[in-house]
Amino acid sequence: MLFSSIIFLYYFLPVVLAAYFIVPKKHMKARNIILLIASLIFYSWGEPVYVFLMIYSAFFNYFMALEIYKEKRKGGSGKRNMLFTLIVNLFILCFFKYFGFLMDTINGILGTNLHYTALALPIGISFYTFQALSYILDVYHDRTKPQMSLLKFTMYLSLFPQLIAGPIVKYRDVADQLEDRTITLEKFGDGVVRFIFGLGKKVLLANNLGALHAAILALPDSQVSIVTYWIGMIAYTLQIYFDFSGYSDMAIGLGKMFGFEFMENFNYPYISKTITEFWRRWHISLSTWFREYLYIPLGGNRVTVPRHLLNLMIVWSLTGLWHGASWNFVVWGLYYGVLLILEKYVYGAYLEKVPEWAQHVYAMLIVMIGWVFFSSTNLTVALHYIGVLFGAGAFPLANMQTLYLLRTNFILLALSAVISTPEPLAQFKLLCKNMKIPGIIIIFVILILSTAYLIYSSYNPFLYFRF
Amino acid sequence: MSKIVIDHSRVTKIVLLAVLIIFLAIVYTNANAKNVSMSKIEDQLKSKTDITSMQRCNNRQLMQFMGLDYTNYNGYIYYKSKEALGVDEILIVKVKQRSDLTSVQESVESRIDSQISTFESYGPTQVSLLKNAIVYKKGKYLFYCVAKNPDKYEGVFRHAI
Amino acid sequence: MNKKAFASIAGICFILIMATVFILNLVLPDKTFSAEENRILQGLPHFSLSQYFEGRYETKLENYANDQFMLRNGFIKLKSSTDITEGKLEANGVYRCRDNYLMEEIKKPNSQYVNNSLSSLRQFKRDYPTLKMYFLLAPNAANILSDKLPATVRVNNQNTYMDSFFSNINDYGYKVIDVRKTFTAHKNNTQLYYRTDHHWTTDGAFVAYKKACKVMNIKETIKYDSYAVKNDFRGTLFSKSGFSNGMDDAIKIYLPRSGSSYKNSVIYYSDTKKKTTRFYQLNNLDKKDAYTVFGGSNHPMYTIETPTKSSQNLLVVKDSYANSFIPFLAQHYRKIVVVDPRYFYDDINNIIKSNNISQVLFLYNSNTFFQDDSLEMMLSN
Repeated sequence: MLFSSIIFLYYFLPVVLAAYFIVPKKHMKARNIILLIASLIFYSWGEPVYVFLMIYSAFFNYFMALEIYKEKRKGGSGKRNMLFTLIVNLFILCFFKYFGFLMDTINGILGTNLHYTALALPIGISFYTFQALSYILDVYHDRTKPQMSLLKFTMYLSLFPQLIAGPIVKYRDVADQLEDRTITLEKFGDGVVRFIFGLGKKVLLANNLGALHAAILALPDSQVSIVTYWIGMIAYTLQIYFDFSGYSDMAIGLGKMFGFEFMENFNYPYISKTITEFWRRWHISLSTWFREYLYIPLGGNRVTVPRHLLNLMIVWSLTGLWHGASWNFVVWGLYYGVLLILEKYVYGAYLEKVPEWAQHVYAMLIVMIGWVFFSSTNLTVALHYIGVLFGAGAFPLANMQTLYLLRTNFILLALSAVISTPEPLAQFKLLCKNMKIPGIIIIFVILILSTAYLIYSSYNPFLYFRF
Repeated sequence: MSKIVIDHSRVTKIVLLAVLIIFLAIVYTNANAKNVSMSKIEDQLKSKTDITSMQRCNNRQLMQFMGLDYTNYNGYIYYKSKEALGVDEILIVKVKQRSDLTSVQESVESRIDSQISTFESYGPTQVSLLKNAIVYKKGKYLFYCVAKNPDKYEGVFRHAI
Repeated sequence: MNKKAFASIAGICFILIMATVFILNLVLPDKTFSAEENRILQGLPHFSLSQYFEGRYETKLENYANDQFMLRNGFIKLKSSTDITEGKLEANGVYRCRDNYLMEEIKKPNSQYVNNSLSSLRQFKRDYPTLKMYFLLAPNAANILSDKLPATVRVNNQNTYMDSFFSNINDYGYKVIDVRKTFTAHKNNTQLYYRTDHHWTTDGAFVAYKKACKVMNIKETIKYDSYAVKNDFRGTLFSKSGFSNGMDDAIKIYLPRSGSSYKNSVIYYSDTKKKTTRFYQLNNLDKKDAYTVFGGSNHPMYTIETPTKSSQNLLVVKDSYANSFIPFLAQHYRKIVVVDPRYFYDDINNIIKSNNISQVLFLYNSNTFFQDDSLEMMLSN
């Protein structure tokens, strides 16, 4: 099930909210059970078979965490159990996500043609596996006590607001909230506002920007122009931000409605002036996960320079690989690894002296080109696209198609660019301080328009009979 | 006392691992089907069953009776009974993407339903044959059969892939 | 203090709205058919465990939720209006053009289908060397009225596709009926295409008919007068795109002038076994799909017999463009058999033999024909 669907918004969510709040506050256990059942239904809706895999993962990690804890209490290290758990979790993830990638690479290197079947990727497996790993490692390192209740742990792992697309919620960040959480009408309302803004970002902005990007990619070579491809790259840049951050907003908003406080996942990444800053603002839960559980255990930056460089390359290639099982993702990750190294060791100091607008242009260019690698099906396609952007292939600067695209998408692009900065939200907050009604109207106009766009996606005129 | 506890957790770990392996093996074999060409499958059917006693159908008949457009798929085998009131038919479709299987299955099920309503009032044998139809999916193939002994054809098909 | 109040109000409004919508959606009766989309809307699906595990139940229930949402048509209009405000010129392949026109894009031909059609047409002519065969491939609005397209829109060049097709079938022995020049000549004084529908108007069909007469060696003997029978027609392009673009269409029918030697025809639909003498089904004007006034929609085959002096029998193989054109032909043939390859599954050779067909006319519009695979299937059976 998706948040941005009629069935979720107007059927699933009202029922779950009603069931949850009918139960009086003091029966937290009953409320947790309701959330657990709702989350399992939510997940099984999209994955009717692999829901069992997720339940298995919950049980397995719950059990192993207790094992590790028991062993440590008796004076043991718990290391073997921890390694066993890590390996099984990673094995499951690799089996579904990276098996095909591995076979293709082997076939490519050895020249063989080993046959295999690529299985469909269970939704959210990257997210819940990483959440489970954070739990096991925190228990092993005594950073948190294990969860005694299987019910509460499974609820944590399968919690529907963040199961499918994050943020990656570390167990220790919400451990207390599993036991008890307070919900006030104000907090609920905050969640509503946050959720609706996220919905608007996804449905009104991201989906339409995506359609623009797809249309540009589909243009035959005879209609391509340099400016058109720039527009396409900008469209994708904005699309992926609104898609991802919109979903995170919805997750955080939904969490709030049920009394959970999740960490922020995006902090206006496109106002960054350096790449280092960018990665402090983009997909924060993932970069902090890698930092805490991979980078620092490898030694972080408290090692020799060559080792530090190696650590960065390892972490960034895996960050890339986490996003997708294909070499262009690894390249994308390494691309950032190299740039971060350059900023830290080579030109970081000079960069700070450059005027702010130039830093901003530098950062955005790097980021946008990175997205070309990220969004292309393979490296050749990516390099071709980038080539066109900078004049390769003798494509015209602009043509009629360019004008058409600008004319029909200017408002969308301009609006999106503005909304990717903190200004509009700041103005909105100011507005709400003084007058409440306009603010409420804006929120619910976004809800109504989003509903209209979602319904339209099912509009399917069947004119066959008359042709 | 502690010895029993340790054994208990060892056993649990082994069981958990076993459950996982079995689950993954089941999922994998269900998704897996050898990439066999339709003509090979057809040859197998011709040599091991009496499918040649049925009428071999073409693109137009695929559209007419099953409502499927041959260009959407990577091949098909479609045989129908030669008799006017016969409901025997065998259809094997190889789809381009696994997600296409759903729409093929729906077409097959509508076909079965409409056949049943056609023969409802005067063809009890036909209706019972239709109700025992086999619809089976594996990998990128969908197999549909209405016959007195549909398992025979299904067996040859399963063997072929 | 104020921020707290704002959030609380938002929370309360949200609860009220969601509760109202939820209850209304449950209480309001389900709709079965969407006139705008010409399709059956999803009803409440039956739950079955196996369907749930395959994911089919979920898809059906989601479609149900979408199709049965309260005020669905209103929301769809809202989306279209928002798009237009935003500057969108196109939806679902339909452009908002100047002069209140909606026009469909020109799709690139499906080369596999076109090649198949060409080879089956070639073989068909070889099978019947003595029959006169004609092919009227009509251009679409975006081709003839390309000056009305919005400033920045460029569509594919339909003329190159048509030129290539015509030269091929000309080589096979078909007489080509190419109406492009006459359409271009008439486009300023006649409304050749509907503003909201992808068909040509009856006026356009009549212009095409006059050109066809020249090629088919027919003497026009009847004078017609045109009558508008509906003035608020909104056709397929409106339904497909959701754009209304400011002007509705008039549907005209052509009736013979009194005093002309017009002979009434008997039209027989073999699938519904209905007989009629009327070409125009005026009851259909109130239906959503008012174009069905021209009859002939969705029938695999029907015959027209007219007591004319002519001894010729014509076979027409067509798409829906022919529906408003065929009435003009009736006066020149003793018998016309009209076949639609998308629904016709019998043997065309039997039809030709048993009806003593002497001439064959293929009538299609380019956009449809270049994506069609049913003609090849019918001819090559």
